[in-house]
Amino acid sequence: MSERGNRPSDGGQSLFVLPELSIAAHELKSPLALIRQLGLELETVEDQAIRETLTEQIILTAERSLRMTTNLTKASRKQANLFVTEPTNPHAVLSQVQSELAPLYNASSRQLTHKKTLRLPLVATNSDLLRRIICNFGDNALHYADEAGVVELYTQLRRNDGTVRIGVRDYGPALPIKVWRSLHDTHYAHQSSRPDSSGIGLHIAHRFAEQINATIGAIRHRDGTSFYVDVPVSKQLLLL
Amino acid sequence: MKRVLIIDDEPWQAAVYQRVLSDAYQVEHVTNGFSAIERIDQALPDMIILDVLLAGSTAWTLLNELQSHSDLAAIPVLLVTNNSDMDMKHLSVYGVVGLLDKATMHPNDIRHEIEKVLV
Repeated sequence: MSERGNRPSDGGQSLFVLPELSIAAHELKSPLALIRQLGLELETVEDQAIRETLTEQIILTAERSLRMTTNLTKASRKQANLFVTEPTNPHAVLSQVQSELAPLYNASSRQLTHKKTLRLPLVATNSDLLRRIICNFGDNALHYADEAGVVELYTQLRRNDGTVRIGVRDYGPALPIKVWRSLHDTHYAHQSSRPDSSGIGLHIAHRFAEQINATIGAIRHRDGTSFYVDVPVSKQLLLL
Repeated sequence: MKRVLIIDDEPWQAAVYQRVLSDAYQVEHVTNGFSAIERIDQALPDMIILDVLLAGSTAWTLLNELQSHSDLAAIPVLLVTNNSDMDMKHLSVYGVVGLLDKATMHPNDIRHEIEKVLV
């Protein structure tokens, strides 16, 4: 690899370094290959009900890929002032995520529920980035959710560190240890040359979280995983 | 009817394979390595179609597990992958009899590959 490939190309707003490009390319290849397979079947199948299902799956897979490419573009921007933070209701963001992912979950026979916590304070964040982080987790959870198929969006006030935890809980196989480790080592994703399922999504979530002074993490449960982001409580409204 | 087990964490992809195979084979689908081991123990499939990047574990973990049991080691495995750089020479010791690239294959290729093995 030439040195040029690792350097920012536009004075600070760096493009991804090559290993990240490789991981991103791999991650995008998966839905594109699926779209191609679904398209090939659509070409030959005559049953109208199957044709409608295939068409819906192609559209939803394309939308998922587009979300990923938009996120990659946003994640490559490093200037913090591009993302303004303001007091935000976490439940409003979770409702948006639930609406955005509902067609994908319905078509996959999975259910995305939203568990509401009463009297939750507003958080200081950029609602667009927060929504994208949670959408990433939601996309990921769909991949991991077992056939019973329930994934929960939840919130939790953490008084000791003045944050609100906003998370996505799935009930699938436990998170692979190397992905879990990557959440505790922000450099791991840069160093790893092996493309991992969900790796780029977590890396993007890391980047977005950095922009809004939030922290992402994961909890390995016996029967699944929770991915969460801890977002600072908005001080503006606490003063009122 | 011969039994084929599809192990793929993308249910829509697995459904494509199922539609291609279901008139000639008894096809089942699981989404991860843990369920796969359980199902293989219960049903002892005649052939396995295995996606390389599985949620929760990789195909390699599963292939190693199969090779460590004498009654399971002989089950032929067809690998399907998005990673076209893999080398069949290294895979055959794990019981892999074929390799298909999702980016270039036609869904019907699954059937042709299975027919080569399950005559």
